[in-house]
Amino acid sequence: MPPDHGIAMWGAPGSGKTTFLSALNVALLRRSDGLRLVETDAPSSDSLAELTATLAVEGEFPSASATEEIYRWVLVEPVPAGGLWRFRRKPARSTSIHFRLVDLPGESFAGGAHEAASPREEVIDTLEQAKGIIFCYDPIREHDDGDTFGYLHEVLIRLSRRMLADDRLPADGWLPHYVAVCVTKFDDVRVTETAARLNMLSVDPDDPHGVPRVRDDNAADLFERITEISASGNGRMVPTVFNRYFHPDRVRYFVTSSIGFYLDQARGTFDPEDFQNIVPGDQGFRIRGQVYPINVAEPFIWLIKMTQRAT
Amino acid sequence: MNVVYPERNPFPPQGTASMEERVLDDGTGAPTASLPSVERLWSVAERYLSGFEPGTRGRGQVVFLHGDHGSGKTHAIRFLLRRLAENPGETPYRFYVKLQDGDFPSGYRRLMSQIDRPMLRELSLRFLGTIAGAETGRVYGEQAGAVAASVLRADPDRFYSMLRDLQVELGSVLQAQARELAQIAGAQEDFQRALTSLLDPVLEEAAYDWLAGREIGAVDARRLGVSGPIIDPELCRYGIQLLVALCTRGGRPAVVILDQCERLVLGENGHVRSGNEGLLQSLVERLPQENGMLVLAGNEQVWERLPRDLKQRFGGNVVGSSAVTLEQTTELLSAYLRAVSPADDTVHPFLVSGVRALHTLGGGNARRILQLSWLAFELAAPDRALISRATVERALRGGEPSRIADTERPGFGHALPDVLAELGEGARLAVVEVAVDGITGYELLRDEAGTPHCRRSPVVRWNELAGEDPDGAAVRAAGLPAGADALFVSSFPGDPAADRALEALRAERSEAPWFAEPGVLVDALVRQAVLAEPLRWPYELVVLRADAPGGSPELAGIPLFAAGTRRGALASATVYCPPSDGQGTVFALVAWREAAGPRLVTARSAKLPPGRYEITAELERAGRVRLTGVTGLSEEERTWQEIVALVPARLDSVWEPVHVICAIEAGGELERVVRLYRIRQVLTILAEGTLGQIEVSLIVYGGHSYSRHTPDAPVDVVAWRVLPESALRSLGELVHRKPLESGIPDAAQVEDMLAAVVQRLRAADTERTVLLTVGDRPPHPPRVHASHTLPCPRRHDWEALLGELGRRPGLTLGAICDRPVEQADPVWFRLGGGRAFAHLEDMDVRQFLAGLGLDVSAQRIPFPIVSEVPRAT
Repeated sequence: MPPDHGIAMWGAPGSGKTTFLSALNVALLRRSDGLRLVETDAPSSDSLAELTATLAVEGEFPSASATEEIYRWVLVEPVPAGGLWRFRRKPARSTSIHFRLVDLPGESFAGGAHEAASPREEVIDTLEQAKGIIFCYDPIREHDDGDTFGYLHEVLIRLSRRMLADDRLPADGWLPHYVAVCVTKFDDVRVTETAARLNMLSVDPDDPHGVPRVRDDNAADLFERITEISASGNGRMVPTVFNRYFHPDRVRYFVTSSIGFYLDQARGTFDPEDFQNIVPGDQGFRIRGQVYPINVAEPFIWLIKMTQRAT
Repeated sequence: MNVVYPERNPFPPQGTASMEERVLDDGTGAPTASLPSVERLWSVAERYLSGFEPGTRGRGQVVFLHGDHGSGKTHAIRFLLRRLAENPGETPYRFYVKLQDGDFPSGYRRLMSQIDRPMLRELSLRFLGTIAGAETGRVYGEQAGAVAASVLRADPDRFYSMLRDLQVELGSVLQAQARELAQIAGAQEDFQRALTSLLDPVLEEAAYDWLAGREIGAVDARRLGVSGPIIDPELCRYGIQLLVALCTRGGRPAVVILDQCERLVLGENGHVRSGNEGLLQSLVERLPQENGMLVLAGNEQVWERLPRDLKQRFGGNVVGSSAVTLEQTTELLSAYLRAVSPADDTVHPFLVSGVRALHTLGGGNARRILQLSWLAFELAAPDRALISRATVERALRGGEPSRIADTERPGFGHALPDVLAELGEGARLAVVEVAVDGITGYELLRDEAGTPHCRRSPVVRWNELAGEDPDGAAVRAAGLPAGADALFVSSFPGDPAADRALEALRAERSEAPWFAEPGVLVDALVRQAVLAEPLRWPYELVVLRADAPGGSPELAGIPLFAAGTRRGALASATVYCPPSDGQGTVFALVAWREAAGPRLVTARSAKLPPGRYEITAELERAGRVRLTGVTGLSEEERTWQEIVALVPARLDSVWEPVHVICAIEAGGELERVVRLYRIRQVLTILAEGTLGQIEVSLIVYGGHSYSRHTPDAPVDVVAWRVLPESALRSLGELVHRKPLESGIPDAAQVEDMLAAVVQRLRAADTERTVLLTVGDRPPHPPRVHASHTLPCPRRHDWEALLGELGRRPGLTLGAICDRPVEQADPVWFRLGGGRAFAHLEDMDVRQFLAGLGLDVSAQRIPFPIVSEVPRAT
């Protein structure tokens, strides 16, 4: 049995966790390095295909997860074509990393004022078992509701207590997890324009679509700045919480978008005047154009590689 | 043999055959004998008819008919027209114009007025049908094309349905039409525009007016796309070519007759007007090319003066109307007598000696023969006597036949108009005729408006004057009014009673001019002088001027006829008739007597639906003007003071021209219908209300699709600058259309609608404009927006567009929103200009319109209204 790298998806309700997962397969398929996801059991296989189709084919957003969803997937990194015959004395082998990904409904993390009857203990269990955490921070939601801190803080207190009680807390006192903090909904004009105002946008010259991104070295700064925009004013404490509980070397920040920007249909390029990729409808939003995930595969790959190295 | 004494004098008193200028379809009229000129003219027409083929060009004919006055040219033409009307095949179209002077456009207008609007429209449709047939032939084969053309010739109104059935592109038909018209009317695109507009119910009237050479308003000219009225002689020539081509391409021959060419071609001193001669030359060349037949008639002088190359173009088709023979004289008499006594084919009551005398004394001139016949019949008829040489000679007693009623020589006939012209306002002139039977008085007076009137007294017979003082009795019988000028004329010099009475009258009024002219037709000449007198003062149509300084309406006049205008002249005016009281709108004409001011000429009224009216005025004679364009006119019975007293001190409504643009969000089924219903209410009120000249535009818009499968549709400008009635029709059709693409729920194509309005409103359009938007959703932003409302695919910036409209002078914004004020998107307040906002389901339409400056009041106005009085030309 290969080692299982448990990764937990964490975030407030509506922060885009399930959509993030739905976009993962598309994000990997759009990469040039051949990385791909393989399902290891039937229920997960159905879910992966379904999630992908809903988002990329039907142009719909997946329903939010109401219960804990467990996905058992393998990230396969094939040997580059031609690599078997050149530069290597030994034949290269592909790598396959098994991991278990748990998508918890946002309400499960409720804390503070949110006294939902959710199985918090199971949540703490899941997080305790996980080696990596993807934390989805939705700046739009924070701007409107300002409750991220509530979801985050109490869970970490209880997780620390549990790990201390189980004698699993490392000697350095930090929680042992690797954490990918993902600022989601980068495609939303308010996020995009905040980044633009902070002069944090850049375009990869090799990107044929000319899509702007926030470079990784700016991501933490953007996270800090964007958490200042909070309905409750508690947003600015969110970075502090991460700094308090996780070792800085084990935290990395990403600015992401599951659906990406709408590209001009004629030229296939980013149009700064018209990049919104969602269309409001009577039944909520639907996706307007094609799905071009931004920084969706990267947090996974980073987490898997970090947890594999730690193992 | 059935011999009948004619019940009335069958001969024309002036000996001339008069012709009405009209399309002569009935074939009736005065009788005509088959004279040589008649037969020759008809033989040319027969060749034309037998060679006529609808689809072939260059099969026309041209003929010149020349002869002296009275030689029978008009008889020949009349005969031709009758025979044409009886043609067993397609009855040719016939147009007859008697040219009055060197003013060719005037002749053109009278020619075009012979064809009415429905007929011209039908000709245009037939023409298009022929072209559509050719297009059909191109697509489906020659046989199908021939069948299509034949069907369309028979039923032109099937044109549009056939295009649809055969899937022939209207555009290709119109292009082919343009090519055809370029051949016919040169590079005159105006004709094509007008011709196409003739098929548009909204523009039909204006297009017809333009083609008929009438003045049309600037707005109509712009809508038609024509540069100006047809006043250039060359354009008139093209117009005639076009008319003939329309007739012939539509499958029927066309004959154009231009009579009295000498008046067009020859100037006062007999010099040739080269421009007009060139026009005739062009027509002679082109009308046969267009398969038409052109008949030119003129006197010997003009025929002699025509250039050789033009004469050569007639080839053998030159017909001279020479002196008639004795046999033809008999035939002529018979023809006229048959018109009165159809059962009688003799020349009764003329005896052979009488006919011989007519022929001899008339010098073979048909006109003189007819004049003598009239006089002879007048002498014989009271006793139902036969007409012998003696009767004819008695008719001629005292002079040569040429002196009888010859208005071309100086005499009473020429003097009377001059004397009449000297008659001042309020003055009277007594004309006294002494004749063989008695004395007749005519009193001519001129009223304050400068209109001459004539009153004829009964004949006082000589035997009634017998007594102790016959001279004094004659003077008394003449009834010479005190202070009136007098003029005496004896129509029977040599008659003792007449001569004695004339002497007595001259003794009484020695200063009065007098004439002794045997056979002079005093009654006819007096009537003629009154009828033919030119206007002394300009005539104006009384209107109410809405834009008078100070805000109060004031009476003003639209110039119709200038001083000096003669009968037959046409003028037009566009007015707005507001709701009137039970007596109707008053159409009053005044004569403007310079410093003395206006004097009422006529006042008639008509009960009319409020609206804009294009009125055509035809001067029938001084003091009498026929108005067309309004129906139900009757003499006004109220006094002028009573009518003027009805003019309100202020006009409640806005009277200047206004352009109302209704922009309707037309996505969604139920909402769409409710909005359309509301706009229908608005337009109905505007159409029936007391507004000035109003034009309406209709724009419907939906939503952007943002779908990969549904292309984004532009807004639909359903109507632009049409009359409210037309907009209402379009609105009715909209209800039955399927709803437009709804797009996303949170925005609609408002910004595209605004862009369409900005684009279509030209800087030169200076009239008031109201943009009334009806809908629910706000516009799309020009670029990506925090609201998640997707940007307009065309990047229209509604704020910038609204700002541009807001800066436009005279533009008012109004908005009717599905939602009440507390729920409506704030944009709707801006679409309502910040104040004119209404809730669709709960609004008072009249009050709302009043807020937009579109007051609709119950005020009743007695006169037509104009916002600006045109200047006299």
